[in-house]
Amino acid sequence: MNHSFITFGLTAALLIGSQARAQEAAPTAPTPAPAPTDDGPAISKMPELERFVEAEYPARAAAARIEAIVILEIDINAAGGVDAVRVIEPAAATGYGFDEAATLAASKFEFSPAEAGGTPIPVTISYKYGFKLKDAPPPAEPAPHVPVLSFSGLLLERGTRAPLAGATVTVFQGEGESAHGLETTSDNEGRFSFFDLTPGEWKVLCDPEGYFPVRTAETVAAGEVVEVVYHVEKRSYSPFDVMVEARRPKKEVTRRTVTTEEIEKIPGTFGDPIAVVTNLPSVAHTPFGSGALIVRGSSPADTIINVDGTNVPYLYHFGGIRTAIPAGMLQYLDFYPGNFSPYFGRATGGVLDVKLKRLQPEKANGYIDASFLDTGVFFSMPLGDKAAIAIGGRRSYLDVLMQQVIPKDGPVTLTAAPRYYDYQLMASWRPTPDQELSLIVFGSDDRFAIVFNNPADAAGIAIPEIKTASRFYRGILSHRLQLAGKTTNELKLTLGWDEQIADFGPGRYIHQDYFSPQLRDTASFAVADALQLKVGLDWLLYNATWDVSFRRPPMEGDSIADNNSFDTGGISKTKIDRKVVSFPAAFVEAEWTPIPEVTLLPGVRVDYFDWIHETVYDPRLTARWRLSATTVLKGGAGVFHQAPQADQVDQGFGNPDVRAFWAYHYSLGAEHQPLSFLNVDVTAFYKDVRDVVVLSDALIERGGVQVPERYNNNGRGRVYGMDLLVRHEFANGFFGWLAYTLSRSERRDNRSNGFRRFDYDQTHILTALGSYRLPHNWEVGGRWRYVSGNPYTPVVGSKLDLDADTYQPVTGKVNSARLPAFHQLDLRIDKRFVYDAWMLSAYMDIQNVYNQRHTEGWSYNYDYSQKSGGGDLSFLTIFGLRAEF
Amino acid sequence: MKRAHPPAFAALAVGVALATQGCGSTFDPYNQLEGFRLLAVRAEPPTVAPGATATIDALVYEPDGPGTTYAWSWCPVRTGADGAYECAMSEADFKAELEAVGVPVDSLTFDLGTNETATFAYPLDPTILALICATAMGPPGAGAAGLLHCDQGFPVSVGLTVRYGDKEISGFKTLRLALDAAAPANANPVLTDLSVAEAKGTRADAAVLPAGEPTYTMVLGEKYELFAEVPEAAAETFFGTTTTGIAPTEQREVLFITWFVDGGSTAHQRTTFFEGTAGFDRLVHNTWTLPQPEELGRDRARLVLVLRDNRGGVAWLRRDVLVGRP
Repeated sequence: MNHSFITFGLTAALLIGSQARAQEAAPTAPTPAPAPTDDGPAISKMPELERFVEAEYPARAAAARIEAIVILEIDINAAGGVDAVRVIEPAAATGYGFDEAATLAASKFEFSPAEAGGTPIPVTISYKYGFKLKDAPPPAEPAPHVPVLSFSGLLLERGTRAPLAGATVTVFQGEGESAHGLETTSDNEGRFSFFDLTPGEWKVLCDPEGYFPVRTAETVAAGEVVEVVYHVEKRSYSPFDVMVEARRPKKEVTRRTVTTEEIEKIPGTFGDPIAVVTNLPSVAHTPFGSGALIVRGSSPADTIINVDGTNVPYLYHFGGIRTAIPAGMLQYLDFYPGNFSPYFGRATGGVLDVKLKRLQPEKANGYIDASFLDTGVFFSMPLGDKAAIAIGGRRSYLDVLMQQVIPKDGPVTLTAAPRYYDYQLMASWRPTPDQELSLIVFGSDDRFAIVFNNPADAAGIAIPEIKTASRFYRGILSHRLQLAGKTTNELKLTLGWDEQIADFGPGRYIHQDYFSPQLRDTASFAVADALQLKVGLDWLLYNATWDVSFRRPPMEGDSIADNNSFDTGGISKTKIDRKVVSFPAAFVEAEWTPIPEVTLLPGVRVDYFDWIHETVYDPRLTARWRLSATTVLKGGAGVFHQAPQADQVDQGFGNPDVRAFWAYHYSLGAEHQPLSFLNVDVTAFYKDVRDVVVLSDALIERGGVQVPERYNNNGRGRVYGMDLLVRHEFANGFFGWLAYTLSRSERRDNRSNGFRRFDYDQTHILTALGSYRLPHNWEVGGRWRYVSGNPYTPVVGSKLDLDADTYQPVTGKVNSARLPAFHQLDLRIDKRFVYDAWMLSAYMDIQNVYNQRHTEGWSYNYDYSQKSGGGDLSFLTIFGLRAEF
Repeated sequence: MKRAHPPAFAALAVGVALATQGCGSTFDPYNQLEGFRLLAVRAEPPTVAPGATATIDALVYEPDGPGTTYAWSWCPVRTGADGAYECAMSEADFKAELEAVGVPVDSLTFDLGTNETATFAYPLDPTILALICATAMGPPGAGAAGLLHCDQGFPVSVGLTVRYGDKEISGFKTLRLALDAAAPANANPVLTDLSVAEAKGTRADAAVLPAGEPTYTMVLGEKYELFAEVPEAAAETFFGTTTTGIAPTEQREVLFITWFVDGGSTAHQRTTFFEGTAGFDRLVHNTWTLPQPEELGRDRARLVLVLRDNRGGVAWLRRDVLVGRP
C-alpha cells in the first residue's frame, strides 16, 4: 500500500500518530482559588484534599490510547464537602466522556475546609483533573509505531464486478487551506486501506480514468474499522473500448479478423457471428436464412468452416437461422477468402476459422441472452489459479411461436415444429506457465417435422410428411506447449459425430451418420533468426453409414426445373454401413524474413483422399513487403485441392471415377494505414478452377453394362476481380468499415457451350457499416448494402406433365438473366443498464428499414406464364435482452 | 455506492415485431378454369400389351364451345427443361439405330394423327424393349437415376399439342409398354358419380349430380360439400417399383383427384388417397364455395374431376350445376 501526504493546493498538514504511554490517572494539586471578594474575610488556610476519588477512564478513549486533562471548578462547603463541580476547560478529545468522568469523580472528593482566621469557610477552587494511561511506556523509550487500520475498501467495476486495480483513492478533511488528507492505490484485487485516521468524518474521492468519479464521506471512529465496497461505474461499456489481445501480425495475403466485441454490435446480424462474415469483401450476398457462404465465386461446399482448426459440418441451425456456437464462446473469426496457409486444406474456396475463447476468467461470470428466436446462457468461473471451466447452452422457441401462427385447420400440421438447441463445455488447465491443456465439447441438434393435411394439395404429389433432423457434436482435447524462443507445439484430438436425417415420405429419405475423429499436431520452431518453420499433421477419418434414397442433390447451374425435391423421377438409392474413409494430410510452411521488410511464406501441403484413392500436392507461396511503416505490398499464388462430395463418388448416386478438383489462386494487393485508426486494404484476385465436378447426361460402360455417367470432371471455372476494405478501428466513438467487391465469376460445364455466369456472380457487392457510441451507454449502428442481382436461368415456356398433373417449365440458357439488384438498410440500437453486480443490455435490430422489396427468386403461376419476385424478408424488427453478471 | 438509474425497461421483454409486405402476387389456382385448358390425357388401357393398341383421348376445357385441334405423337425419350421436353431423338435417328441392330422399322412412325382421339400400337418386339431395359438399368442395386424404370413396362412418352384460336398448350404423358403379355396390367381408375350437399352436410344428405343437362341448383356465394364416388378397388394393389420406393414391393396405388371449377374456390385443389396416411374419405371429399353473385354472369357452373393413379391410370367426370341468386 502506498501512503503519501497530499496537499489540496494549501499547506500540507502532518498527522502525527498517537503514542502509547503508561496510564496514570492522578489528580493534580488543587490550584488556588480565586481570592475572596473584597467584602469577605481573608483565607488563612487553603482546603486540602483528604479523599481522592479516581475517575473511571472512558473505555473508548482508553482503547484509542487517548489521554486528556479537564479543568474543573469545585465549590467546597465549610465542612469540606463538595457542593458543586463545573467544567471550565473541557478535554481536548471531545466526545469520549472525560468531562463527565472528571466531574463525577470530583463531586465525591472530601477536603479539609478552608479557614479564615481559624474559622472554616466555604471556598471555590479550580482543579485540573488529568487522565493518563497507566501502562504508557516511559516517554524516553517509544515503542515502534504499529499503524492501526481505520478504513478499508474494495473497488469493483459496476456491472461486471471486475476488481479495479491501480485506482487512486483519496481521503481528506477540512476545506480550503485547512484541507489535509491521504491517498492510496488499489491493489490487484481492487482493495485499498487507510491507517491511523483520526476519528471523525473523512471525505472520500476515487476518480479512475475512464470511470465516473466516486465522491462520498465516511465516519471514522476511534477503535473501529470502516469497511466499504465501492461499485465504480465505467463511463462506457462499449465493447469496442477493449482490445482483447494485441493484433496478430498478418502473414496471409488476405485475412479478415472480426472480434466478438465487434460482432455483437453489427446491425442486421442479430449478434450472430457467422452472419458478420457476409459483410466482408469477397463474400456474396445470400438470401436471409440460407446459411450459404459464397466466397469469390466458389460454391458453398468449397469453403470450409473450422472451429479452432477442427472441421465441423455446419455452424448454422436450420441452415442459417442462428449460429450453433454462441458469441460468448468466441474470441474472434479469421476469414481467408483465398491464398490461405497450408495449415488449411481440402478446400478450393475460402476458410472460416472460428477461434474460441481462451478461458481465463478472474471471477465467475456469465450471461443470459434472450431474443424472439431463442434463449441462451453462458457461465464461466476460475478453478483456482490454473484452471477454469465454462458451460453454455441455447434453446429455441420457434416451435412455440409457429404453433401459434399456423391455423389448426390449415394445410399443414407441425408435429415437431422447428426447434434447435446447442450446448457447450469448455475447460482449461495450465499446470505450468508454458503449457495448457483444454477440453472443448460442443454440439447442436435441429429437428423439424411437418405433416401435410392434404399431401396432394400441398406438394403436387403425395408427400404426406417431411421430417428433418441434424445433429453433431465435437469434443476437442488440445495441448499447447510453449517452449523457449519461438518453439511451440499444439496437439488437438477431436472426436466428433454427425447425423443427418431427412424423410420426404416413403422412398425419399436420407439417413447418414458419421463418426469423425480428427488428429492435428502443429509444431513451430525457429531454424534461424530469419527463418521459422511450421510443420503439421492433419488426419481426418470418417466412419460413415449412409442409407439414402433420393434424387441427386442440387448443383450449381441448376434451374428451377432441376430443384424440385418432390420430383417424381430420378430417385437413386445407396446404402453403406460403417465405411471408413481416411483423409491424412501433412504440411510444412516456412516464414522467411530475408530482410526486415520482406516476409516470404512458402509452403506445401500433401493430402490423400481415401475415397478416390488420390494423393494431391498443393504448393503455396505468399509474400509481404513492407514499403514503409504504413504501407505493405502483398501477393500470393498457390494450388488448392478438394475431394468430390460423397454422393458424387458413390456408385449408386454418382460416378466412382470422379477425381479431385483443384484451383490456382493468385492475388496481389496492398495495405495502407493513413491514420492510426484507419486501414485500407485492396486486393486483386484471380482464381482458375480445374476439373470441376459437373453433371453429365452421358451413358458410359462400366462392368459390361451401360450406366449413366452422372458426373465427370469436365467443368472449369474462373473468377477474377478486386476487393477493397476501408476499416475505421474504434476511435472517437466510432467503429465501422466499407467493403466493396468487383468481380466476375464464370463456369463451364457439360450443359453450356463456353463460360457462363456462376450462380452467385455478383458484379458489385458494397457494404457500409458503422457503430457510434453515445453517452450513457447508448450505441447506434447502421449497415447499408448494395449487391448486383444473382444470375438465374429464365423460364421461356412450359409444358404440361400429364402424369404429375403439373406444368413443367421450359428453361432458357443457364444463368442468362439477372435478378434485380439488392439494397437494404439495417439499424441497431443498444442500451446498457448498469447495476452494482450485473448489467442488462437491450437491443433493437431493424432489418430493411426502408422496406425495400427484394427479389431473391421468382415465383410462377401454375403454367409459368406469370411471375412475381420474392424470397426475402421485407421488414423485420427484433428485440433482445442480455443480462450479464 | 448508488447512482440514479434511468427508467427501467419495465415492459421490454423478449419479443418480435414482424411485418412483411405480402409474399408476392397471388396467382389463380391451378384448378381455376378461366380459359382454354388441357386437363388430362387418358390411355385405354394405360398399359399396352405386346401386339395390342391403346386408345388415347384428351379432356379439354373449352369455355367458348368446341373448336380444339389436336396433334398427337409419341417419342421413346424426351429431353429435359432446357430442351423444351422435345423428343431426344428424331424419328429418322431412332429408326436408323434400330435398323443398325436388325430391327424392322417399316411401319414405325412417331406421328399419331390429328383426331380427337389417337390410337397407339405397340411399336416393337417386346424382347427388344426388354433388352434395352436390361442394359440401361445398370447392375442390380446401382440405382438408375436418369435411366429407364421398366418394372411397370417400357416407358414411352405420348405428346399432345392442342390449339384453340391463338392459344396452344403442349403436354406429355407416359405410356407403359408391357414386356410380358401375361403380367398383370394396370387399369384406369373408376370415377362414377359426384354428389353434392349443403354446407356441413354429409354424404347421406348429398344429391347425385346428373350427367348431361343440370338439374341441381346451387346458390351463389354459398358453400357446398362435394362427394366423389370412387370404389376402393380403384386403388389397385400391385408389385413393383414406383416413385415411392426403389425396392419392388407390394403396395396400393396412390390416387389423387384434381377438382377443377370454373368459378368460386375449393377447399383443396387436389385430394389424395395414400394408404396409411390419407384415407379414401380424404380423397373423395371437398368443399366448393361458389362465386359471389357479382362475379358470375352465367346461370350455370361447371365441375371437372380428374382422378389419377400413380401408374398412369386416369378417369374423369364433368358435371354442370344451375346457379341461383341468393
